[in-house]
This record gives sequence, structure tokens and C-alpha cells, in this order.
Amino acid sequence: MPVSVIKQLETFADFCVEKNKAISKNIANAGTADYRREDVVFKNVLSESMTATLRETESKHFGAQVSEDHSHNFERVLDTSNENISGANNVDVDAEMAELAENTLRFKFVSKKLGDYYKNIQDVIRGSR
Amino acid sequence: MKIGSNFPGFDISAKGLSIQRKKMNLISENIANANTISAEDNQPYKRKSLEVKQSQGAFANVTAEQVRTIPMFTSNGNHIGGTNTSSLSNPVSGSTQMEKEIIDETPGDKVYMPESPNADKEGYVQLSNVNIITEMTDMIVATRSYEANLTAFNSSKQMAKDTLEI
Repeated sequence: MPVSVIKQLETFADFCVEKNKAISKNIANAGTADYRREDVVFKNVLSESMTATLRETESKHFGAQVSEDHSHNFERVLDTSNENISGANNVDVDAEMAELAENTLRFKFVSKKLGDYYKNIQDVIRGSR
Repeated sequence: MKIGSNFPGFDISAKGLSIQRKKMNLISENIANANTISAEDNQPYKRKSLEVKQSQGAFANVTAEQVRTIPMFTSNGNHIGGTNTSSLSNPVSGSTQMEKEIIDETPGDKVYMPESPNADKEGYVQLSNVNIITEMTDMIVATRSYEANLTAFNSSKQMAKDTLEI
């Protein structure tokens, strides 16, 4: 797995954390008057593009590449729809709960994938026994 | 990845739990005092409820927090110009909700009971404005909301556990 994919997974983990915060906030405020539900959305597609390269001062150096910073690829948005779903605001607790479960699973996937990657590297360094 | 004490939103769920618990306490108080008459002014007990509001501009703070980054200083063309996030304060802190205890001043029923020690000149007794049915439905809402917050909290906990396994 190339390093850029790991970077993307990290961004995805960050996204899941941010989304978890937003969902928690929505659930906590399900009965708060004048509250509007929040959501976290991706602004642009996570690209595999490399923006910067490490400088090579000698021909024997490896030209490693550093992937770009993905940390601002998602943002919080306010759902301004005026439907009264929960009785006090536009939070639909059922939908939030479903999304919460989904988000937790997504995070589980990312953490497993990342964990496996580092475990793999460790195996390579140690030699599998 | 930024991991802090506020990592996956524990505090907002905790705040939600605390508010539902407070609501529950007030409901219990209302039911327990449904027939209470104050010893001081002979007035019946008045129903209490919790009003929860979101403080103004809470969302604006969140967005402002996310943009505030400090670019790394590059003194050489070959440097990698990364960004350094400076936001340490938590955008979803508990202060986004404000709660206030309010006393319901609407008068309760008046019942003709001339033999009661609390009866007025015409023989009527002012009863408390606590409606047991309303309190019961409010109690169900508080319980369910507490459960929802607890599930959210557990999800956050699960995520924190998963992070430690990376």
C-alpha cells in the first residue's frame, strides 16, 4: 500500500471523527429549540496526487514523494431545512442513529486497515516467524 | 490526526446525558409535589421545567475554528510548505447549550372544597398546575433521549478504542 493511500485513510479517519462529533451534537440537541442539524461533507475528491518531492542531492538517493495535506477536504455544513421532524427542530433521531452506526463501522474499517498496514511493516522488519 | 481530551465528541454526549438527567429530576420533583401546598404563602406548587437553548453563533465559531491554520515557514525553495493547525479549543464544547430552569405560572384548576383549610372565602381551593399525564409523557421523552445519547457516547467510546488498536 503506497504512503499516499495511508494519508487518505488518515484523512478518512479524521472525517469519521468529525462526523461522529456532529452526529453526537445532533442527538444531544434533538430537543433543543432553534437548533439546526449539522453534517460533515467532503469538499473535494481525495486525490492520490503528489504535490511535493523530497530533494535528492545525490544520485543514490531515493526520490521519495510526500503526499499533499488532505486535512481540509471536508467541512461542516448546517442543514437549514425547516422541516420539523423531531418536534422541536429538523433532527431526525432515527436517521442520526443509523448514521452513527454506519460511521462507527466506517471508522472500524479505517482503523483496521491502518493497523494492518503498520503490522505489515513490522512483520517485514522483523521477518515473519 | 489530532487526538485530544475531546477526541470523538464525548463531551457533547455527556452534556446531553446531563441535561436529560436534570429534566428527569425536575419531572420527579413535579410528580412528587403534585399535591403540595407551600407552607409560606398557601400557594400550590408550580410546575418546573428545563428550557434548553443553543447559544448564539455557536456554528460560526466552529467554522472559524477550522480555517485558522498557520502555514509553516519555508526559507528555502526545497522546503515542504505544510500547514500547522493551531486550533486547540474544542468547537463542540459544552458551552453551546444553555439550560434554564423555568417555572410554569399558568394557574391550575380551582376546586370547590369549603371544608379544606386552604379554601378561600368562597370555598375554592387552588390546585397545583402539575398534569400527571404531561409529566409521564415528558418522562418517556427524557428516557428515550437519554438512551440515544448513551448510544452515541458508546459509539464514540468504541471509536476511541479502535484508534488505540492502530
